[in-house]
Amino acid sequence: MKSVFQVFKVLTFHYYRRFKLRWILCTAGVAIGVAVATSINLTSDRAVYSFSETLESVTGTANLQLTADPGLNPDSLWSASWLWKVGYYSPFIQTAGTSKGKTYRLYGFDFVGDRRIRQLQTLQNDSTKTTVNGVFIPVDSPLGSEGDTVTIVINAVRYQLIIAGKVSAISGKLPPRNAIFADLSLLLPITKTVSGLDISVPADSLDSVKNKLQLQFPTARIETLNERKQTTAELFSAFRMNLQALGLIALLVSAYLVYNTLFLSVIQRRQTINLLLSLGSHRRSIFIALLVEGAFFGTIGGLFGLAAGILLASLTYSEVSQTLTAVFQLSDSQLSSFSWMALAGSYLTGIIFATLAAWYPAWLGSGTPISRSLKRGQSEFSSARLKKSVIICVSSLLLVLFSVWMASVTENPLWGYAGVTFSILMLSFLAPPVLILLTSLLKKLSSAGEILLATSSVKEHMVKVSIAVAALTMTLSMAGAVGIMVHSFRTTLDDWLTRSIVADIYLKSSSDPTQLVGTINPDVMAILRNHPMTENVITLRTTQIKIDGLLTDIGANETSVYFKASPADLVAGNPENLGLLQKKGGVAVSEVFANKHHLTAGDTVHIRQYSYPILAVYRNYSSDRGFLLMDTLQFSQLFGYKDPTAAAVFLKPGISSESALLSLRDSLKNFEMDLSVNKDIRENALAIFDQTFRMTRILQLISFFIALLAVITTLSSIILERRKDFATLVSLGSSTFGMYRSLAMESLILTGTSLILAAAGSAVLSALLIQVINRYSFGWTIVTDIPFGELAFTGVVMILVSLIAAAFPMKMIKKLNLPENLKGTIG
Amino acid sequence: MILATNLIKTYGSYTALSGASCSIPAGEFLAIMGESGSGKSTFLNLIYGIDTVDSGSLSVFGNQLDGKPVNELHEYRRNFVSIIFQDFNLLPTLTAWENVILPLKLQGKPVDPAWISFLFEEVGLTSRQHKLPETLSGGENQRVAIARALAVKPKVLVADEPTGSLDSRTGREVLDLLRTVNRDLKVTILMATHSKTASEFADRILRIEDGRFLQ
Repeated sequence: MKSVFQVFKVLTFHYYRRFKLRWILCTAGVAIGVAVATSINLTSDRAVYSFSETLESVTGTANLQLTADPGLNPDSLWSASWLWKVGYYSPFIQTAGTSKGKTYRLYGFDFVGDRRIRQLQTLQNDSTKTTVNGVFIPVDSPLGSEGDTVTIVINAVRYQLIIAGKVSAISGKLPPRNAIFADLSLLLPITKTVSGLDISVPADSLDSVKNKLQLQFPTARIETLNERKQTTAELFSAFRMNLQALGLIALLVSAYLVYNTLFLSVIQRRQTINLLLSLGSHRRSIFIALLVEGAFFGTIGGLFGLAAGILLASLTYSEVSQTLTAVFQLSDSQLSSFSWMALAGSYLTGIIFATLAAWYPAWLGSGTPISRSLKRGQSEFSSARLKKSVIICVSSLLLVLFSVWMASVTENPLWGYAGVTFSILMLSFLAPPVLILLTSLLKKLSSAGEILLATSSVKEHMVKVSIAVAALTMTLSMAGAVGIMVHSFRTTLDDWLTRSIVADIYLKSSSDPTQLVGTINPDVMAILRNHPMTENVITLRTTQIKIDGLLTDIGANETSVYFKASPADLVAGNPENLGLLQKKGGVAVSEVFANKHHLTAGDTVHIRQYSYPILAVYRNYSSDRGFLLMDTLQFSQLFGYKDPTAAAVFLKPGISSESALLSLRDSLKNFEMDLSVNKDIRENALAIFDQTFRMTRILQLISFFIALLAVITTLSSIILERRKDFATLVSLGSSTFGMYRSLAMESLILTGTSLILAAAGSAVLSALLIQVINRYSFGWTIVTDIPFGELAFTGVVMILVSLIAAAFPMKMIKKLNLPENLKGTIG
Repeated sequence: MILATNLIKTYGSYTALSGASCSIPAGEFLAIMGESGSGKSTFLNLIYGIDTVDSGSLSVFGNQLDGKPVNELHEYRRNFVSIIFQDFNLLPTLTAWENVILPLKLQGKPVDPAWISFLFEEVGLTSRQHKLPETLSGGENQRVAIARALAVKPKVLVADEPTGSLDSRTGREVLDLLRTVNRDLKVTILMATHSKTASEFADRILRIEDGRFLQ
């Protein structure tokens, strides 16, 4: 240990004190990666956490929750009074409302009797004072101040509510900003039903209580705390997958920067290393000292990265939060606290990546190859090395195929991720053979001096160039693949929306963006149906239930009319059956539902005491939980009568949507309704989609950044190692511009090879993402649509970047001391 | 004709040349001998145009080099002078042939295969011209380096310790070759060496000590 410290002191401390820029570059490298990873982890964790916190903060100490749609009759709660013998319970109401265009979540519970479940901490510390007459809002709520009267629209009806006080915490946690808390007695006259029960029972009786409750309330959903958390996690899985891919790329960038800087440093310190070895240092000490160097950069850079990441997270959180709010209709939009786990995770990952990145330079620096492979004039190219690369490529390809096969057999998306990993391995080891092929081809095509020099340099530095090409390929491939996936998904969604949104005008309760609780009351329906411009009205009712343990969206409409207007894109089943769902007593299910339940047309799905034959499986992208569509009559039979949550209006021929919209708005002016023409619905849906994937644009920026850094650092390390060669070339008559042309050619070979490999990589990875990971994660099919224009643009930008990048190392050549580098001594 | 008068060159506090003067007629094979640090490499660097003199006058075949910065000597280096190094400085991934034609390519001059073949014949490597440097012996590598230096038909060939990395037998072969080149191609050769044996191949020996030539 002492010897490692001594080696570290001589090798690292003294060296970096002299080369401060290198130290800064290495630290900055780690900091960039950790910053991006931290901000991504923080924002996604915080956003998801705030959602789960919303649930947890209002459920307090409850470990079991019973919910029912369309709600529980308050009178039925007496039958659950046996729960007092094993624990305690409290009813709650959860609904949504709007005020000044913003959506709020209203939570109603028994302020007096609920205290064993929840602790409502108000600023006045007197939660009982005015509770029954007013509502409580979080301290940072934008709604107003104590004593203010606010107008909240719930289920298309306006209510005037008084702000009775401000809540500083619920069960010790800060509630989301968009929460409104009220006593049950205030909300019950509005909702007529309670949403469910929060129950607190001893852990050992959890299962028995759950089973007993399920028998007593067969239509209710009863979940433990863990099950609820799992549901939340599933809800965000796609979003997090997207963000985590970004974080991984950022860390790869930083690892590459650390690797390359350490590589440069090892080259520069080879004399010192040899000296230390000759003075009796053990190779292992040098190896460990260089690894510690990597870890050291990880530790210091990680700290800077954490600080920058927190700052970045504060800036990007509102973007992420807006996306989540748009997609999932959630919660607050400020980053009020941090997940320490996310911070620690990013920091540790940064240190690990930096240490791993130091592995190869450390091995190279400490191993025998120091006198051989780092010796100037010794080519890194060898046929044996090339053969090894090809063998690894072929093996990786076989593993990719095996992963795809396993994914199809097990239907587990994890095999898709394994396929992605093996693909990246394959692409990385494809770099040397492709580089050799390309350089040979170039040499055959032209015997110009620049090509001769560039191809010679690439071959001589095969390992170094291959690593740069692999890093670049990886980034470009992932960016390309995600780009293809997003574009394909968008095209698929666009097609589906065009096919599905066929009515002229759509209508829903403005208080109900979630479409879970808000309904359209019968008066509105009557106005719609009797309006002179209306040809036909289709209603939509939705709810969620668990089928075979999986949460499913169930919808109902007048299927005979609906499918006539909107022919579905069928995966299985007879299209004629779609209009006959009611007549045949069957249902149509989405592709996601069919895949998740392993059912197809002709099978039967059991819901409660009823059995429904599946008459068709169709493409539907409205829910990744799976969607089951039945006729309105069947829905009423199953769930009792419910007012519709949305309505679609077909206009009489010749009537424009815009004029009808104005007329309908006028007719419905006494109701709080949202009316939209089909074009706006479609555009809004696509806008939400675009917002969801806006962050993938960061991928492209990171790609360009890594490209620039990869090319600059690789060329710099090549020049640093070959100072004598470049001095020789200058002395042989090469002009400065000639040297630039040669470097630019080398840079183009590096980028060109990466682009060729990335084209293949994007194709393979996007196929894995679309056909394997998406399919087995979400269950839907996406039609591949390649954005050729966008990819070509990326390619052109990359080539320009590589040409610019070659200019930076040129400065090193201009500064070359010819006599010193040609001989090394002045005599 | 090379004419050096009262050359002074310092590096910080270290004086490499302190009033060196000499005259070298065209076509001469000159050996410059001296201890390490005596200033012989500095003198060759000045002749080769990769370093500049602080004061004094230096003329090489009519090119006045004193007072010109290194980057202005590019054309001079391209047209008048070539160099061979102690450790050859060949590009390892280029074949011997490619290494030899490289200066012509870099200078944008046409490659005359007959001339290059003649050079390979001259250095005795006709059968090895498509080999990579790593497959050639040290002596053969230095022969390739000599052919490369001659490819641009220089007036002056600067050789800095050309046999320093070779065993004595191979060294003699290389010196023989330089002698032949000097005789056949009428190239002026300036060779820095420590070796008395090597100096015996030259027409004349010029000794340098503490930055001055001893007449």
